[in-house]
Amino acid sequence: MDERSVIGIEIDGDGAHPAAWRAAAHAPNTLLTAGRLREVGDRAERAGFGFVTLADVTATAPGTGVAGRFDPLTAAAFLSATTSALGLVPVVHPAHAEPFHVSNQLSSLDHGSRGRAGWLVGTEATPARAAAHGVRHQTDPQLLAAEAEDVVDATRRLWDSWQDDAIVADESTCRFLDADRVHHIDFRGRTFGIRGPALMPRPPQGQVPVLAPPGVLPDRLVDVEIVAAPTEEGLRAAAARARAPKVLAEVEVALGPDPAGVPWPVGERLRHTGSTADLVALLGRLATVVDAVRLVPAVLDRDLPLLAEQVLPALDLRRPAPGGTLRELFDLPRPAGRYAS
Amino acid sequence: MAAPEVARPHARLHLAGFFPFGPAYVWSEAERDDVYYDFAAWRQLARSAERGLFSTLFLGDSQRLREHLGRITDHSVTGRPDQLVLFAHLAAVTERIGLVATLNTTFTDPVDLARRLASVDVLSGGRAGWNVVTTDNDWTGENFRRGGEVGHADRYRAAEEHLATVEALWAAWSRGAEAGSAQAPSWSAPGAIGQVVRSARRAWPSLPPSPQGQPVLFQAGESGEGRDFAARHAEGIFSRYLQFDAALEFATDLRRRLVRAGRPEDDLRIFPATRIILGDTESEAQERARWFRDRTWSDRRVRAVVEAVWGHDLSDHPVDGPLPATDPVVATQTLTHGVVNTSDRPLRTAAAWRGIAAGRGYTMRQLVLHLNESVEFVGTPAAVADELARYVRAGAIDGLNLQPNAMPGGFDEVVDRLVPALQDRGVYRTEYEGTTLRENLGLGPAVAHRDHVESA
Repeated sequence: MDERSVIGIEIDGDGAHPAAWRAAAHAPNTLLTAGRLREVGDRAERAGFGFVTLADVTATAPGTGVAGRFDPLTAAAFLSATTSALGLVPVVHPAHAEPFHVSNQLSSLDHGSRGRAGWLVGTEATPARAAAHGVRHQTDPQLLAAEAEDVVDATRRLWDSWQDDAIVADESTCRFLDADRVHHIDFRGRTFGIRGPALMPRPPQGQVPVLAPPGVLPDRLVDVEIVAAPTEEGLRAAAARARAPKVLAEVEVALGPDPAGVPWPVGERLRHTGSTADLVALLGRLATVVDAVRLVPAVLDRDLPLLAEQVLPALDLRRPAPGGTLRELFDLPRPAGRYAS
Repeated sequence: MAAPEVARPHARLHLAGFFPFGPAYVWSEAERDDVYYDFAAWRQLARSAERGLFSTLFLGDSQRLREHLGRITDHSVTGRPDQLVLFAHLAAVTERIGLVATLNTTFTDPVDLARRLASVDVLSGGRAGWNVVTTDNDWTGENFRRGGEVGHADRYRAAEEHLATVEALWAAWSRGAEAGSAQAPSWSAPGAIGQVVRSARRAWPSLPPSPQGQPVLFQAGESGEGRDFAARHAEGIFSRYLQFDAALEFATDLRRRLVRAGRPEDDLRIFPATRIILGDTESEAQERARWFRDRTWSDRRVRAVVEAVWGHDLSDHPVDGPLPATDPVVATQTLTHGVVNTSDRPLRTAAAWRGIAAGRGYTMRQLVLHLNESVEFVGTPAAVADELARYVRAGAIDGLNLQPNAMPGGFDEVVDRLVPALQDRGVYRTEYEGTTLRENLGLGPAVAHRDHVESA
């Protein structure tokens, strides 16, 4: 295994800590602005991160924390114009999603970023999500799994529906497209079927890389498996079990005290608190067992500068190159289309 | 009594850079075959339009690739990047130009659409618009889990409900809800962000209002029902009426409906679709228009228009010969899709076309070109500017949905040659009036917001 790591960072809101906004370097009412989004993208790219992820949670009744967010895919599309090397990986939840929209949107993001798009497959299937979509809340894990599989499978088929050589622009035969190279997908899954083809040419990466936690999708639909565990040993074990072509570990980082004395509830992920030197050591060890790490910072405005100044420079990184694709960064080959002749 | 030509002596023309779903441009002249899907080309187009002080970009839509006689339509450019992905990208590299997307209520979830469009509106500083369209098309519905079949009678009611849900979500986040300081008791003021319970949905908004409050609403309905929908909600309308008398009649009818709906008669901007072809002389312009027609109306494309009505392959009919002598197959709707007018009855259309062809001695090609020729302004910059000034001052149109003739340089000529001529005549802005689409179209708050204020 290449022991150079790809490091990405989650950029949702002001950070993952529930009181992160109190420690932010900007006023709360400037969070949901173009200027702030542009600035975070610039800082992540300059720091040498390989990619950013953009979380998504269905809006619920406001509490004391941040109450809004951009549509993650739309925010990623904005960043596709303001950055040049950074991978752009929005969360899209398959539950209740229309794969025709998901496919065209991610494909468009891939075109707009010249091959820097990724898809972090979300698992939200909450009552709030169902209520927002006006559908019945589904709790049967088998049905949810079937739905996720169908949405991702149909999306992937749509990405292939235009062969790479579909556009011929041949004036002598008056043909812009070769209609034999643009295909109805006629997808029939367990939960729905759709016809296709997609609305635009195959994405630059052929297939936008699909990142997903274990157990959400069949192996054949996953490019990068996201592993998480509360301990380093657990993370190593999860990485050893992973079967996708590439493995990404999730690590929460808090490089300073809890803002406003509010505790950060512990979840399923390994959390690093304390010194940047220890974090460098941890990431160095993880580089021997996983291909990439996604850092989830407690407070973006505090942790990102420390990561940029003290952590990333001390690591042997695979860095994205302007003009490079997310697949190249992850060392994933560009797949041939399923209809290629 | 004032002559109708000067009904609005101080009116100004709005230009919109318009792309139907699959535009006609001379693709063999483009540097890259896939230029139409290339975001760098769109950036160039958008910047050119902004340099020319265009009010907005405007994209048409389909949610299914066009098909012809059971195959994907291959004679024309088709498809397009997702509109809101493209607009979020362009929002980052432009500053003033509007971004109007055509989004279909039948195939979108209102909560999802509200958030995506609000994202573009906020990221662009208040430059987004939504052309609200609705379809009762289960053929397009085959691309969606939930299908697309809506009874025709229910169509506008369903669209109205969808729009009301979207607008309720946009209005549910009060301006200034977010705290100004990190020391505030909470990130948002209690009660300043409300829940929307509507259309069997319970949802919370995701974003604050943009500087323009909410995206500008456009509409494209032609029927009486569609026009009434426009009169109730729309702030812009996409029309197909461009011959002077027809345009004036359409505008007059809409203004009447606006007043009936309780709105001022200047509360809506009318944008017919067109093309502009310029030349140093009238004859050079005509020559360029002929060249463009010949290059974009290939034999296959001409024949496809006729085949769409006749319902079967006509490749053994020369396009420079007469219309087929046989009658159309009546079941064409299963064979040709996505082209305007497929719902017309083929036999009636065929009879009408035969009448025109016989009366004028037209071949298939001449007929098809005739059917499409009335929507262009061709001439010297001065002559076209004079003509457009007449239209605008008479109140026949407020703007033009202008299709580019090339990718990506297709607006440059209009920007460099026509815009100055329009400015000389006082019918075109010399700088943007504001930063939002609403300001630059000279519009007040959205209709829904006015209702809100009145009823409060």
